[in-house]
Amino acid sequence: MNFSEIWEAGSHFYQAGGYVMPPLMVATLLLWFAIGYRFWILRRGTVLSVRECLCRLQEEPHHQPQGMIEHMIVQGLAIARTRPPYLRRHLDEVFAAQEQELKKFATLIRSIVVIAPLLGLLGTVVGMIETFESLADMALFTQSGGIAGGISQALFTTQMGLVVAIPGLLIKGLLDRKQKQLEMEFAQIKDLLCSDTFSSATQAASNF
Amino acid sequence: MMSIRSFFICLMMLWVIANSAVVQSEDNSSIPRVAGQPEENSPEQSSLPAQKPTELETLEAAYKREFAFLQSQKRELEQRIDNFRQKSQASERQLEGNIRSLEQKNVSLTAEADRLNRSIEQVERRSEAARERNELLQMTFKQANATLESYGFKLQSQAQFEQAAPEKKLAFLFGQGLRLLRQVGQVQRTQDKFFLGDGTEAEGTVIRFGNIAAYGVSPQGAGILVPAGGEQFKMWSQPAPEVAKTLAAGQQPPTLKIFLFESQDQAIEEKAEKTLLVTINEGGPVAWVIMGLGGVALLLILLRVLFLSGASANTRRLTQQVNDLIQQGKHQQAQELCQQTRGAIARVMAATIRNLDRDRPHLEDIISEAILHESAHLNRFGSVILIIAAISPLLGLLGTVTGMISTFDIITEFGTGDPKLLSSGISIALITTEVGLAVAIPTLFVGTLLSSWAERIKDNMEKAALRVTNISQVDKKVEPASAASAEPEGPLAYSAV
Repeated sequence: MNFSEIWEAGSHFYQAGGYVMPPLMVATLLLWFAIGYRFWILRRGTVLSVRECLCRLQEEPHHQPQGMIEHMIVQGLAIARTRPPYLRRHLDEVFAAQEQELKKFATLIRSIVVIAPLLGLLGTVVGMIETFESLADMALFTQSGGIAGGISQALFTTQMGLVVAIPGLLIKGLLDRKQKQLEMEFAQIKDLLCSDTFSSATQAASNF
Repeated sequence: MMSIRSFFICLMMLWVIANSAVVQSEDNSSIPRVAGQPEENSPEQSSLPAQKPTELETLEAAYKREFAFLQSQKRELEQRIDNFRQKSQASERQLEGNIRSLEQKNVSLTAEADRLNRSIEQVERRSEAARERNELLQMTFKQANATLESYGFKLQSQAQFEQAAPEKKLAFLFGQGLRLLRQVGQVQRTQDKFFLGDGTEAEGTVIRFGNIAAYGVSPQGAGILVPAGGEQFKMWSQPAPEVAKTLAAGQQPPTLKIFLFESQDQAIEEKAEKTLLVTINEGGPVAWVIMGLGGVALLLILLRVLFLSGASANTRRLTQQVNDLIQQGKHQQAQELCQQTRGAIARVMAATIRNLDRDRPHLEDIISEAILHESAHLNRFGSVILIIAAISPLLGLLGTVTGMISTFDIITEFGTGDPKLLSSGISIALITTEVGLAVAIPTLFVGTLLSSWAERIKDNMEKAALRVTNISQVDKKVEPASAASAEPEGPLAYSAV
């Protein structure tokens, strides 16, 4: 099956679905863009635990940070070295941007996953209306009612809505778990940086 | 015979009692000998008892006689057995023959029954097929009658048609159909009456283009004819006398104005274009309620977009400017800048700067109070929009159920015979669901996105206030100690992060 055949089949389906297909297509594109973006953003970057990572980065200050955790630890250490009053507040401020980044597009994915089956259902209802109207227009003894066309449209859009929603739902669960974990680890970084042991260690490090 | 035998047996008994040992040996030796020659002794059988021989001879002879007698009896019995056997074999053979012939008869009868059953089935099938064909024929006749009647051919009333054989009927129908086609396909000229535009009747030439258009020419007026009901024509309101006259003269007019009709008494019914309003109207009051809710939701969404865009206007630039001013210690200017700018973030930052000289816990309380005050404003209409998104599909469902109830009412009243009645009710029922979903989907989508926008603004507010506080606090604390500080990057190296 070459490209032109696939394109033809796709455009046939697109036309068969009726007026719910354009929004459904837009929703699909948005969904996969958002999923890709979040996958790219929610990289942990290291297999070490937060504490180990913090120790290592404290020893090698010119290490190039990889991924979110290391990046945040480097920034946090830079602030901790200045020993400002209300250290936690300063950390909060720096981490706020990243925490916002963690949540980016989460709502978009959630709402698309919710509306895609609804759009499919809308297409089904439109198709059923077409079917019943063609049944109503059918004259005595005619064989050519538009029943099958309407029904196939009806079923196809539901299928399409589910095809869009189900993978989105699965990946959304995965990404949300990842987000939760990263949020918890950010909190852990803050706790560690604010704790007494680390503040003394930072002092020792800055004295070199 | 039996008495003689018993007599000998008595003798034998006596003799046995008298000298048992001798007899024992004699007896043992005599039996094989006698058995060896039974035929020789048999003729003496009758004569021996009459003589009076010696005791031994007598006994032997008696044995012989007895033996011969038994032999003959045995022969006789064997003969009888043979006879009987032969007889029974004969009868057995005869019976077997009988059974075989009966079995053959049975088989042939079963085959006959099967054949009859098959032929019965065949006949039944044939009669079924004939009945079906008959029904089909009747239906065809009815349909043909209905079709032809609209063109002025009466079939059912003709007695000749009713009595004809089916083949003849079909042939007649096809003939009529062909005639009709030919008639419909040609231009006809007749002298007929038609109505003029002012309602008066005029007589003139009627030119008919098959069964789809007609022109009339009369001394009183000429023009295009349209069906007027009751197989009458009337002049069309748009005058075109020259076209009709040219056609009446048998020439082709330069432009052929035409009014098409379906048959002599029926104009072409143009199907009304289904506009959005017509569709919603079909959905009944519930659809209008849903549309009203959708309008309300749209209005609220627009208002909320206005609020939120106002609240989040040029956040980034403002925070940067304020931060720079605070860093330079120009608190007064920063506060003025905030007060000049619109938006929730500017207000929160103004409140923060105003109270910067207070101690930290107090300042944070003031900030969170200001954010709380702003978030009430930011959350406005959010829940209403989402509620509308939630209830409009439910209302659509309500409309569907109402429509189904009315459909079932129609069924109770008129039965399920006419699909048109039922399907119209069902399609009305479905329209409300469609409208409900069509309102719910965009409302849900935009409502959720707006809620997340509001959340983001709140986060930004918090962040901006935190940054302002942090910068001023760092300034306060670090500046006196900056000379002693070992940090080469300076205290605010991270503020560009």
